[in-house]
This record gives sequence, structure tokens and C-alpha cells, in this order.
Amino acid sequence: MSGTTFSPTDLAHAVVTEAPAPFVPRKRTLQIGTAAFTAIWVMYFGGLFGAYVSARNSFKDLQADIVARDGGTAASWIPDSAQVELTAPTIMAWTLLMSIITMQWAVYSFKRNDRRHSLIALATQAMFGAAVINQVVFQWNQLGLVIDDPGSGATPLIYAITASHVAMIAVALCLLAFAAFRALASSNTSDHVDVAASAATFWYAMVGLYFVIWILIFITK
Amino acid sequence: MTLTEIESDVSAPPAVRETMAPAVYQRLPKNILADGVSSGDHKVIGRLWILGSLLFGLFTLVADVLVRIERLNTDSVDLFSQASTFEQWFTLHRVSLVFLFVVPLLIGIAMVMVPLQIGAPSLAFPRAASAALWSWAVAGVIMVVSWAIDGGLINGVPAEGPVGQATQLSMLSFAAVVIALLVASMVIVTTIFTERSQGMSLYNVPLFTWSMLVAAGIWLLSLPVLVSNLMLMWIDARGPSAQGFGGEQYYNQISWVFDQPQVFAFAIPVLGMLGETVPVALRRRLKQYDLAMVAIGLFGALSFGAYAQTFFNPNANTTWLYVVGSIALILPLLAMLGSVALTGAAAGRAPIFSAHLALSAMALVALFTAGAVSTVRVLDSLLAPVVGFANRVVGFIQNVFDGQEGSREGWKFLSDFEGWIGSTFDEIAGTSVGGAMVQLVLIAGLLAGIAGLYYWAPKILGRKLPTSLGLLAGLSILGGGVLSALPDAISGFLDQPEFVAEASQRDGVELLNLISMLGSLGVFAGFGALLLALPAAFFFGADNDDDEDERNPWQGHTLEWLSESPPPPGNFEGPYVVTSEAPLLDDDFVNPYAEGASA
Repeated sequence: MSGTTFSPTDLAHAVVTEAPAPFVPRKRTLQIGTAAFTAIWVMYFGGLFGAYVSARNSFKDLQADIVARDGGTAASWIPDSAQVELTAPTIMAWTLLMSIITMQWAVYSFKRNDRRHSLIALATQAMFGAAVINQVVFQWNQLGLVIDDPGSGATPLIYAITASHVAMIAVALCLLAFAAFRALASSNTSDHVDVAASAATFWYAMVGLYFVIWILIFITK
Repeated sequence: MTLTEIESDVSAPPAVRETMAPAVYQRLPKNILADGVSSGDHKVIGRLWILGSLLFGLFTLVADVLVRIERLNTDSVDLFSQASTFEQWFTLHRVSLVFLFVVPLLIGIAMVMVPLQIGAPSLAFPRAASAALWSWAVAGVIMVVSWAIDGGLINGVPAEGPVGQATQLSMLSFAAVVIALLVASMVIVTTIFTERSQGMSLYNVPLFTWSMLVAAGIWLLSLPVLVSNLMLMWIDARGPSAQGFGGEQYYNQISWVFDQPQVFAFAIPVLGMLGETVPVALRRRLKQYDLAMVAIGLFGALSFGAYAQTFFNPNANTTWLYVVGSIALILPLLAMLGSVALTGAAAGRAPIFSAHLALSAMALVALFTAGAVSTVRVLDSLLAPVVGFANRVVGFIQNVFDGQEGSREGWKFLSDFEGWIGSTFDEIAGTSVGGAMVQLVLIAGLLAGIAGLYYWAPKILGRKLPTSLGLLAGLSILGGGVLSALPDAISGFLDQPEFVAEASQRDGVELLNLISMLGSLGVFAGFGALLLALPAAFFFGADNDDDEDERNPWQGHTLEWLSESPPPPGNFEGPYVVTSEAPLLDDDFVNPYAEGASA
């Protein structure tokens, strides 16, 4: 074919492409991609948790040896100057538990084409996320850990873990915003349920990782 | 070019596509900024990954030669200003060898070839792939510069005062490089999971694609731990008095990445390349395809090394998991070799010789040699208990015959042998034996990358590369790599530390270092031959024959050979339906877009 001359076959093709597209199931690209992205975060925290447990065990073993040799009292893993209160971390745990329900509400609303409830659920979800970040900042102030205090090594680890978790919440909020834009832009939210499901996958992983932090740092100290 | 253009164009016949958007289908980018730098086309992105890795590779190999020249005289520091500068360069060369050279080269080839092999028009997240590319390139340059301004990770926690800002910059830029590679790996994994042609299950994806799925999966699971190490070091270094998450040298905390088994994860695609090139050279399917897939998967699983961090657990490299895993790495290599040998036997004829076949075989040789060195390093953990147990059994039997409990303790020579194993192999921890293994593994990865460049040059570059230069490059790199690594392995037994410029060693180390330096020059010369091959292919037309099949010059068996050379945006005329791992050998495979094929 040359220039703008169309053969009958090409014209037939052009006519066919004018017709409504047949239904093709969406590929799970976003969900698989989000799963891989979530795996990166989980392994990142796995590295930090491993370092925390290993450093804490080494410190405690060393202190036990010192006490056995010289007597006296063993130094504590988290510096004595720090105030480790359980109230704020526990409230955060409850906040995140509630957010699991609202996240599922959002996915359910997306699936049912309920745009209004989708947006309400996502807004509530975002509020929970912001509340947890607020609580983390409060908790840092309350802890009173100073990064350059000579000590056991717990301080940089605690800051590395908790700050990384705040970063993860921020990323989760970005995914929620992405889902919200899709809901706003479409009258048919069920077409975008994969976006909500992907955001939910990442959110659940974030919540799960918080519970490990809660137990590792604040419960078992 | 936008993604929409690619996707919408694929559905139209070629004649209509040309009429609708002729500019999009030109071979070379018309607008460098729009069609090159900001392109979402996986081939453009992949080529840029390859180009960037080759540029960083040039720098890396120059650094390799320099550190080996410095080692010629172990009594003093001559070439570098001081011992710590030598150590900085040594660690920089190692970090850039993995993260700026070999891994990005393999990722670049995968970015171009994986969508083509699975019959997809594009990558799963092309914008993320592009973002990863530019983040990697910028962060890589910053990382090299930060090392050059006395940053790097060889500095430890200072006795007083804060950790230098250049060191902190090294930590952050290194983390950014790794994160960019993680995003690229995520894109590759998602593409393989979601973009395959109809009928192509994970059980019959081409072996290179499979090896990249395994490799990218292992990188996804292990390299985030490296990022966590770097973040921990950086947060620790932020305070005026850092608390020791680097010890004497920050490099110690991340040394697990450059040690067994993790370093083998960077050479997983070696097995995939072998599985691609051998069946094509033999003109038949690979025998025991399932076994080859299991072998690659097992090799990947065994190379996961994030658990073996001796900084946090000094006994990590004596655990049974580490020892058995390190030795078992050789099993998948043997399985792969068996699959290849069975294919050769079934073919009943010699393979058709080509540069890519030779390069794939050389990569396997390098990997086997690395596996042997890896086994030697953990031999004491395996042999000493076995010899000790055997001697206790002998002692027990002696006591039974003597009738006196506990009077005999076995044979003395066995006790001496057990003691010798323990003392000799304990001494090689932290010596240049480890460096030799790393060198060989990465040489294997590099050779696999060059094999991929040669094999898929018609798709990546639009023309074949000159065979003679490829063979020269392969032989020089393999020969030089072995020549530089094996003397290092021997000098490790003579107490040469892994990366210390001055040290008391036994006689003969400097001679071995001279041989090692000559080997390093060989690697550099081989890389130079590769760099010559690229312009030679363009200026002298390589060895393209006019009468051969332009789309499938090697008579390959997989989908990428159905596309034009180089493929246009969208890659194929349309979707394909496949039923096996080598669709072009299937009797029932129909290419509906071939000339003369009925609609």
C-alpha cells in the first residue's frame, strides 16, 4: 500500500476498530507488581529486624558476661534515659487494626461500583494513616532517645525501624491517593478494583510489619 | 512516544500502521529527547542500560588493573597516596563490578529480550523501568564521585567527631543504586508473570527468561536487606558520635553481598544463556527441559545469602545451611551440564559453532571454577567433623578390641589431619581466596552478558557482531579472569589479605600478584575487544549475509525470532499462541502474520 490508498482489507479493519471493544479481562499487572514491591519492603524490614535481634542478643550476652565477671548490674539494651511507654504504640496498633476494616470497605465498595462509599472509605483510611504518623512523632518525643548518646546501639536501630515504617505509611497513602483519583475519574469503580486491591495488599503488609515492630521493640523491649 | 501509541498500533496491520503514524516506526529515534531519553519503549530503555553498564564497566576494569598494580609490591604503597586510598579503590571496584557493570548489563539485555521472548509488545511498567534507569545512572555517578572525595565505605566509625559527609553520601548513593536495580527487577518479574503470550505457561517460558525470573526474584528478596544495612549505617552515622554499625570499616557490614553464596545470585543468567544457545546450535529441543528449569531455580535458591551476615553473626559462615548450601551449588551446574550433554547426544552431531555458543560455554567454565573455589573455602567445616567422627569410631573399635574403655583415641595421623584441616582453612578466612571466587563468579556473569549481546545482537542492535572479536573478547576475559583469580586463591593460602595494600606475607606472593595483574590486563583487553566489536558491526557491516534470514539468522526456536531485526515499537505484527518452550519447532505452530499465511 502506498500513500493514503487503503485496500478493502484495511478498510474492513478500520471499520472493525470503530466497534466497541470486546470485554477482555484485565491482566493482574498492577497486583503482581504491587506484590513484588511489597516483597521488597518486607525483606527490607526483615533485614532491620534481623539486625535488631542480633544486636540485642549480642549486647545482652556481653552484659551477662560482664556481670558474671565483675558483678554489679547489667546495662539495659534501651538506654535508661528513654521512656518506653506502651500506651502510644498500643493505640497505634488499634488504629491500624481498624484501618484493615476500612481498607476492606474500600475494596468492597470499588467492587460494587459504589463510588461514594469508595471515597469515604479511602478518606477514612487516609485519616488513620495520618493519625499513625502523628502518633509516631509523638512517640519519638516521648521516648527521648538521643541519636548520639553513647550506648548499646539500640537508638539508631529503633530510629531506623520506626522511621522506615513511617516512610512505608507515606507510600501506602500515595497508593490510596492513586486509588482515590481512579475512583474520582470513573463512574464505574469496579473497573479499577485492581487498584484498590493493590493498595490494600500494601496496606495489610504495612500493618503486619507494625505488629512485628510493636512486639519486637515495645513488648519484648 | 507514548505507551498509548505502542498499544494502539499493535492491533493494526503493518500497512495501516505505516499510514497512521509513519514517524513512530522509524528505526532510529527522530527526537533524541522524546524518543530516546524519555522513551517508554523497552528496547530503547534496555539499550541505554547496556550502554551505561559498558561505560561503568570501562571504569571498573581500569580500577581493577590499578589495584593489582599496587599489589605488585606488598612492602609499601606506591601507586596510591596511602593504604586507605588503595582500600577505597578496591572496594569501589568491587561494588561497581557488581552494581554498575555486571548486574545492569544483564538487566539491560533482559529489558530488551524478555518481552520479545514471551511475545509481549512491551514491559509491564515501562515508565518505572525508565525511572529506574535514570535513577541508577545518576546515583551511580554520585556514588563514584563520593568515593573519589574520600567517602566510600572503607572508613569506619571515627574515634571522635562525626562520620564524614562524603561517607554518608556514599551510603545514600549506593542505596539509591540498589533501589533502582530493585525497581528494574520488579519490572522484569511482573512482565514475565503478566505479559506472556497465550498458551505460554511458566513451565514453558524460554530458559533465559526463566533464569531472569529466578535471578530478579532472588535480587528482590536479598538486595532489600543490603538497603537496610546501608540505611542503618547512615542513620547511625548521622549523630555526632556514631555507635558502631560499621565497626572498623563500614564495608564489613555489607561484605556478605560479595561473598558466597550471595555473589552467585549475580551469575544465575549464565545457566539461562547456556540453555538458549546450545539447543539452537544443535538444531533441536533441549533434553530434560524441566530438569534445566529446576536446576536454575535451585541455583537461585541456594544463592540467597542475606542470612549469612558475619557482621551480626560471626558464626554465620560455619552453619550447616551455609556449608551444605555452598557445596550444593555445584549440583545445579552439573544438572544443567547433563541436560546439555543429553541434548548433544540426542542430536548426534556437532553443534554449529558461533561466538555466542563459545561465550556461553566459557561462562559455565568460569562458574564451575568459582564453584570449586567456593567449595574449598568451606571444606574445613565439612571435612573436619567427618574426619573427627571417623577417628572417634576408630578409637571406639580399638577400645572394644582392647577391652579397656577410653584408652585409645583412634589413629594419630587422622587426629593430625583433622588439626591440619582446621588450622589451614581457618587461616584463609579474610584472605584473597574469597576475592578470587568473587572475581570468577562475576567473570562468568560478564561472559553470559556478552554471550547475550552476541546472540541477540540482531534484535538489540539490528545487526550481528563480528565473530572473531567476540571469540577474542571471550578468550581474553576467561583466560585473564582465571589468570587473575587463581593466583589470588593461592596467595590467600600464603596469608595475603583480601584488600590490604601492605601486609606480611610469605615468599612468592608478589610473583603471584604479578601473574594476577597480567590476568587483569587480559580481562581489560577482552573488554576492549568487545567495545571494538560494537562500532565494527556498524561501520563494517559485521558478517551479515544478504541471503540469510534477516529475522532469524541463527534459526532460533523462540518467539523473539519472529520479530523484525531490530523490532519496531510493539515488537510483533500481533499476538501469538504457543504450546511449547520452542514454538518455532512445533509442527502445529502457525504464524498468522507470515507472508503467504492465510487470514
